[in-house]
Amino acid sequence: MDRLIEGYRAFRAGRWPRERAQYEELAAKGQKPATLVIACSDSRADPATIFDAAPGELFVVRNVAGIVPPYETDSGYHGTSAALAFAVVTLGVTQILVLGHAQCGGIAAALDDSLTEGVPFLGNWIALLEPVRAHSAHIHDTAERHTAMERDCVALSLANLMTFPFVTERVTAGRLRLHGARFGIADGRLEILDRATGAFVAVE
Amino acid sequence: MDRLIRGYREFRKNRWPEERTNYARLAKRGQRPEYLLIACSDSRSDPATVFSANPGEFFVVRNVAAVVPPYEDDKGFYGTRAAIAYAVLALNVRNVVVMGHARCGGVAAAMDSKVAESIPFLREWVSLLKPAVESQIPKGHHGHGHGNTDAERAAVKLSIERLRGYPFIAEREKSGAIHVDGLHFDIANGILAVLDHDTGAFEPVERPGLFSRWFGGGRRAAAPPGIRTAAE
Repeated sequence: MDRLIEGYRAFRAGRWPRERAQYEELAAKGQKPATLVIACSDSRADPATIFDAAPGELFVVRNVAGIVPPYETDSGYHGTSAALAFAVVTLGVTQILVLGHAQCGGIAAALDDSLTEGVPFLGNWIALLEPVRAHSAHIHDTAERHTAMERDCVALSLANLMTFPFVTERVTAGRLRLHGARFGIADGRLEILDRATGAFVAVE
Repeated sequence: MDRLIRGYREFRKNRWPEERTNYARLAKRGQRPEYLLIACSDSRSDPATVFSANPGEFFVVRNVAAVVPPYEDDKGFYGTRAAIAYAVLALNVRNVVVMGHARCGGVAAAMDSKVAESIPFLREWVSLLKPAVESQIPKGHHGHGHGNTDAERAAVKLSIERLRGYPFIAEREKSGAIHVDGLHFDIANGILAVLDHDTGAFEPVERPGLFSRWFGGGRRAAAPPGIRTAAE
């Protein structure tokens, strides 16, 4: 716990005095974030850090590989689906960003079954990436395939988002926009999915 | 997207130059976080912010109300459980910490069934908190997310209890390889409170742990000279 307490004290000494009025207002009025970010749990790909987020800006779901499961009322992937519904229906976010990243352990587990052995639940969760694994089967270079799968995983989550009726409805009405991006840990680059071409384009 | 790109440019301008060697090293040798943090998706309760995170430090799961589903459950809920298993068994984190927070919409929804009624998936998800909030409802604080502190803290304790039902966590906690802790962050006044495992109470960090350290159960011997404990 020491590291957390130390970090909290740095927050209290640094950001809190600057942002206290914002927190007070957010506590009194409730949150009204414009953006839902669905990202990986990975310690190197923190969305609040990468987007320099202020309090109240980002509603964030983090799971292994940043996966959005398809809309299935009976399958039981409910944690992420519940957060999605809460963000879209209750909070009325106007955009959703699916954020993938380089060196993703979840993608590695989708490529190599031995990585899920002995880790309960992980296989069930990563099985959602089966279409991504199949889609990249023709790529023989492992590193290249890994990167392709990280990008495909973002595209799959975006496609799965469109299986939720409350998402489709709002996207069609122009009240909600969907975006995909991938963060390169080694070079700090953010690339954004151009949904017209399917290509990821580096920012800058 | 403009706001996100602007934020990313700030990151590139400020933090990236400071942290780039960190990121490069983390990319090369892989992540080795010591902490798994389970926190709420709420935009006002960001663990990286509250704990001044450096890259690579915290493996973070965020869902509505920072819920830990029971280990034994046939209804799925794989996302959070898979992340917990991955953090403990593949990454070998040393600490598992659950952080709840004030004004939690998920806890409010668990207390008042009207809140989640028309929201798909949400009612089912927050029903996982039932054992924590049921005892709180008769007190009359429910519905709007204000004054639910007791229920929010009970939810954290429930998640901790459930974590201890994961065999691989129970085993590692017993051998001292893992510590399990609970926190509650009050977004209105910025106060972080830490669960005292002995008393079951949440003690604010600001009052520098005086009460729990000097007067808390089982730790009276640590009272500094000249300080009279309650027992005396």
